[in-house]
Amino acid sequence: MKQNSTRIMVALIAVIVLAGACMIGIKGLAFELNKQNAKKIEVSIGKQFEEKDIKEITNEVFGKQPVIIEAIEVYKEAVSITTTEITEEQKNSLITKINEKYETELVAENVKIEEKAHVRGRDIIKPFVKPFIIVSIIVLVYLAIRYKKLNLIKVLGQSFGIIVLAQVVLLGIMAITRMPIGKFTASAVLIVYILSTYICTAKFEEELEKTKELKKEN
Amino acid sequence: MKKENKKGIKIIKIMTMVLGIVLISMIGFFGVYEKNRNQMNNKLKDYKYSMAIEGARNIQLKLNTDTTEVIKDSAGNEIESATDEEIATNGYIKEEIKNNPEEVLTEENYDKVKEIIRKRLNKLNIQEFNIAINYKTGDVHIEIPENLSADKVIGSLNTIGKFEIIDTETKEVLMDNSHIKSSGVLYNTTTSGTAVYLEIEFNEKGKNKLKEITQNYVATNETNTQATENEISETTNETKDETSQKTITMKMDDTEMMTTSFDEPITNGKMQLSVGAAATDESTLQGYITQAQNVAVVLDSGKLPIKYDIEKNEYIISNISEKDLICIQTAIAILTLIGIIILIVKYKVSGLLAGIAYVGLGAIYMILVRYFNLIVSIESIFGIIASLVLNYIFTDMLLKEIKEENVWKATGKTYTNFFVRIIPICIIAIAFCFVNWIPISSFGTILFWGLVIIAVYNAIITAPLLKIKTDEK
Repeated sequence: MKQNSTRIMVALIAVIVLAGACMIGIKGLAFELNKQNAKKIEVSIGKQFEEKDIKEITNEVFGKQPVIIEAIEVYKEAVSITTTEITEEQKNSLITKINEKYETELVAENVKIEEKAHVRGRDIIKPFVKPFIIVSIIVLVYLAIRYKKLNLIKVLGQSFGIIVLAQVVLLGIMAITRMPIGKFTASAVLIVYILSTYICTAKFEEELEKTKELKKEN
Repeated sequence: MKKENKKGIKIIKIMTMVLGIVLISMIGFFGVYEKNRNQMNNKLKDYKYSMAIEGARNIQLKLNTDTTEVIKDSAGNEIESATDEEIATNGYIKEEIKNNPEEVLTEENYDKVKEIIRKRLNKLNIQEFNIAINYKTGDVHIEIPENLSADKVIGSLNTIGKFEIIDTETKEVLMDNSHIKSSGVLYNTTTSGTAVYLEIEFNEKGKNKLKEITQNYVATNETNTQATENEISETTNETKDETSQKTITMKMDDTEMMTTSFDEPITNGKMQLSVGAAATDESTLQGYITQAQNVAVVLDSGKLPIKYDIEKNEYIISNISEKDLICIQTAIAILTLIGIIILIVKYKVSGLLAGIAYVGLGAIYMILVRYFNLIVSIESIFGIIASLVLNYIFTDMLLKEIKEENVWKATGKTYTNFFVRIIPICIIAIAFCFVNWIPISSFGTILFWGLVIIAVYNAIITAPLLKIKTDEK
């Protein structure tokens, strides 16, 4: 029974990893709008605005395009609208609708469509690499010392495998589900990381107890 | 009768503890409100949020498109300045040279710019930032946390950082950025106030060069003996005392910082330059320190290959609103409630009491986050969730053990079993506390304090509460 569930688990992980690798190869990873190449418009309304009102306008103008609405400065009298693409027509329509809503006299020609550059994946990863490597080494050393009775190479190999595989599976899931890389990625990586170390210790503790029991029996 | 009395006391004890936990929970989750100028204000300290939640200072650096007028002689050598007349008579040529010639606008240089800005932000102790480069236009977009240091940082972002020591007379470049090893800020407090110094340490090549310069550019008294012929054709020897001083000029981005000579040779490869006069008040001193630090950071991080102008500098509020945070809190509360119901179903009254204690832990955790200035970021919210999950595992383990053994023994056993399993998590939490990057450090610190609370709170609240309950039997 246990062997069966292990087989299913291994097969599932293999499928996720392979499918994820294929997806990355074909489509790459998906990025959140504020991490990818986008267009941005900043409109100084001169009056405090409600995000939901702007959202209504952008829904009408941009349709299904993903949009980020952010207030500029604490008084919230100017708005920054970021989306994948903004045409001149959309810009004009947006300004007209804002003028109607807020009774302003904004001129579309004075509003510039800005290009927002994408953030490179390697730049997002960079600050995490060194701390993760250092901490992983410390954790592996600890596990090697604590569970030395369970065969040092096996403990190190399995721990390293579990920690790395957990992250690979996460990456695979992100690629398959097209979960965008952005605000929640670091949190997901951190949670999976501590979960994988917990799995290691729980597994080795169990094995250690078993060997102790076996010794007692003998 | 005695037995009933004992039972009554135990119920009172349990009720007192439960009411105490409820009170702490009310404070921790909802706050303590006081009316102030017709407004209800929470007296508890506010949470400290990260850039992703609070918003960021957005800085847009645009390629400088200006040109500089250069005057050259017929041999192609640059002339510092010349009037129109001189240009015409000497055959000089006036040229308009782009500050950013086409050949420097390469992807390689854009990457170099990004790396230098990253270095500068790291050295300025900015623990969270985003840098994006538009490789088509060359524009740089930077996001840094909105706080008091944001304005001080901005000046260092587009400073080229071209450092030169030149001969004041001949304009020969004696030293430049390639000679610098590192730079820093030093202080010296005397009776007249605190003086701030910018210390530049030179590399081996620079050290030798500095030694050579400081030997050559010294204030010297030269005795010149000149032979003069007087009116009656008699040759006499006349002795004149002259002070000739060869000086160097230190330049930063082609702006003169100082012109000086040296009293004695510098052999240790370190040069200290005073920044402002000795300051006696804190704001002046802070100003000098910031000034010196900015120069030190710029010198330390290398020369920008491209000239940039600050196009935009604005605070953009995050699109994660308080509403979103309340949604997250509600989701956690619902999951906690489900967890407590499971505990009640599994362990009956003990489960209920452990559940109440669990809520109290959450409340104390929130108070601690406020007063220990822990940064609430998206990552640290997940740190809080991880701590709560770990406490749930601990509680479940404790209740399971209590079924079989007395509370104190069960507590001891649970502590051993639980903490042995989470030592790697403790290692991760502690190590991440020291990382200079808010998404990691905020997660580490919150997780660390979560583990501390699990260890302390369960020993002084959960276990005694369950002890009172089991004694009831």
